[in-house]
Amino acid sequence: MNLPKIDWIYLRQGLLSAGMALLVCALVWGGTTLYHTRATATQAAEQQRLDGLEAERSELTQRREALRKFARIYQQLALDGVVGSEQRLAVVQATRLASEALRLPYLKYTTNPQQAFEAPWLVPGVTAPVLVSQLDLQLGLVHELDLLRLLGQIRNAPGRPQVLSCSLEMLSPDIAPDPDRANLTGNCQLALYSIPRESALVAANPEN
Amino acid sequence: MKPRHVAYLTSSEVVLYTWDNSQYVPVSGYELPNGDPTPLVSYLRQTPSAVIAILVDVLEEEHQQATIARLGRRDQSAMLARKLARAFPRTNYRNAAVQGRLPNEPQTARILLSGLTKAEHLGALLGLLAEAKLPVARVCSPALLSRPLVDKLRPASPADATLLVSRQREGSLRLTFYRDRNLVGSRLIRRSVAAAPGDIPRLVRQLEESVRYFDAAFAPSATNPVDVILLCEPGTEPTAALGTGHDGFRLLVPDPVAAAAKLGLGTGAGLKPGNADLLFVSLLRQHAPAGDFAPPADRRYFELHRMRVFGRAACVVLAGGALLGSALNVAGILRLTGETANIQATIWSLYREMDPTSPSRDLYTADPLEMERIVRAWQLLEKHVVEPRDLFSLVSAAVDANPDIRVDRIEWLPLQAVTAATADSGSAADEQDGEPVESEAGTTATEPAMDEAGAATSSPVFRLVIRGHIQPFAGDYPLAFMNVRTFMQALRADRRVISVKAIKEPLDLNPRSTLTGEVTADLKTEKAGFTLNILVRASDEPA
Repeated sequence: MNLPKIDWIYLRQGLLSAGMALLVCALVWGGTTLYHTRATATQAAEQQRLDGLEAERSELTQRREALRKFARIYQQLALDGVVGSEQRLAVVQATRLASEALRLPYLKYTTNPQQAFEAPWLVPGVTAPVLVSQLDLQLGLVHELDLLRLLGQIRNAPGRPQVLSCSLEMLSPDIAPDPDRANLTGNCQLALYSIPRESALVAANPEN
Repeated sequence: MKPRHVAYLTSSEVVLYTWDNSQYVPVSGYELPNGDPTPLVSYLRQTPSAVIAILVDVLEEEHQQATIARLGRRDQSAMLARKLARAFPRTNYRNAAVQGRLPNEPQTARILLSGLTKAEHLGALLGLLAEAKLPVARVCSPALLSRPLVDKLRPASPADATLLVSRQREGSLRLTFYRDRNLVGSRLIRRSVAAAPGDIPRLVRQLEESVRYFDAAFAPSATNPVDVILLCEPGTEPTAALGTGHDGFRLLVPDPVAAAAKLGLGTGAGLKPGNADLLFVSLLRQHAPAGDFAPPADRRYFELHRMRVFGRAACVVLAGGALLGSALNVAGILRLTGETANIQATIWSLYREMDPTSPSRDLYTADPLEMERIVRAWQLLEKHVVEPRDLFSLVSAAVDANPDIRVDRIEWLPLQAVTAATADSGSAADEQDGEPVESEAGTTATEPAMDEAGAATSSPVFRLVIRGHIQPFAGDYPLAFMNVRTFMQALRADRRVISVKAIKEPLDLNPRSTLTGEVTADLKTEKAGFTLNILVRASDEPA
């Protein structure tokens, strides 16, 4: 059928109601689709916000728990000089003072350069990086208890040095001990640990 | 689209049949040539969307058989149009039907050209309907509708030729001639000259004359018979072979009920005696005619009507789809709204729980997680050292229990350091006093000890080496051995001790080694020395 022969009025009369119904339905569909799209976007945004908050809450909970568990110990470590820079001066001075107080026949000390301490049980990310300086002591002792007293005083020094190993030997087992001279020799290795703050590490190694 | 209204146009009247209660019933009409068509048109206007068909049953219907070469579709249409225009130049109501190929000439098709040579009344009726914008689906004739009658009602062993004879409502006879199931022609015999119902001899004469009219070369005989199917003939009982007195005509009167069933019509609806008009009207609803006389211009409103119907159907389908989509969208919106509300409620509860104004947040300058890492590192460091006082107490307790034991040298170091030292310098710890010591098995004592300790406990392990001697010693080696064993047993009693091994004893009793000694009067020079290798845990956790 050619277009000029089409009776548009006849067609319009027959299709008007159906077309209007279709138009209304299409508008309803379009409106609901638009609203649905917006609702989906809103829901996604809220979900994202919730995920972020939950992550933040998890981290905050972790921090609070860490604060509750470790704050007191951390503060004590900071006061003891473990956290921060190495307390080499204080340790050496404490060693000298202890030797004088105990009247040790002789004491020689050697402090090695500080280096990073590595151990398989120190896991990066779980534990903080640790620096260590080894302090070697060569001792002359009147009595073996002097060793315990000396180590006890050194361990209370700032930085809280830890005893790694020791050897103690009688100089003359067959001779009775003389209170005025060294009856035993000792050789101890102590570790002077220090745990620097991460901010200090970052400042020291800005490329890392 | 099945027609709801059928206008049956004859030479003298127009009768309008309407589909009502599963059958067509006459509802209106007017006389020709001067009747008033207004009631009929008014009736049709009441149902403007109902499809109308027109059946034309007039004398002026002519048919011509011809042939046409086998052509493409467009060429064939053009050729048929040209042939139609040549055959029926004075009428627009004409039709060409292709009936199939000639048996001996496959490239040639047989066609039937049909036309209404005088169609003033039909034209007027179509004009009225077009003016009223009523959809006329088709215009056909009983001849064009009669093919189903031949197919369904002819006998089981049909003759080559079939003649349909139907008694129309006005009393006239409509004769339609078929050869090999192809329409050859049709003619109407007026009531005034048609054989009266039951006048078989006259009917036979008219049949003979009609066969000559349709095909002058066809001569009905016993060997070349014609099946004559007599329809709607009043006063004639149904029979399979009614005697006619002419061997060339095998007269067949079908049973109205069985015939209606075969044709798919309502029970007895289409085969009322004396009214073949209704039969053809009913056939129009069930079977498509072989052709349509109406030119496209007269079917204009039917095409528009179809567009409206399809358009409405499309609108309904699309609107339904849109409504369905809207319903799904609404359901989705409700679900999303609920989920969003839940999420927002959770967010607010989280906000309240997190409480940004909490004073504990900025109490410490250090990051709590960093605090944790530092404290954990320190705790691990402390865990991997041993308290000297603990080792001294361990040894002191064992010495107190064995007063003949004298300790000359004591040394401790972590097992990891021992391993490293062993790897670097080969049992450096054992060689400090210049006496390399061997275990009884001939290997360094640290290797099996480390495996044992590593498998036994996660607590740090230290190696404690004790060198000593027995005093007083009067050359009694069994007593010295017993003292060393007792001392070792006392060491093992401590829970922290993992193993105690003697790597040197007062005498080397290994059967594979050489043992030498000297017995003198000066017993003071003899010494029963020993060296013990002890593995100790830093803590007293049970393994």
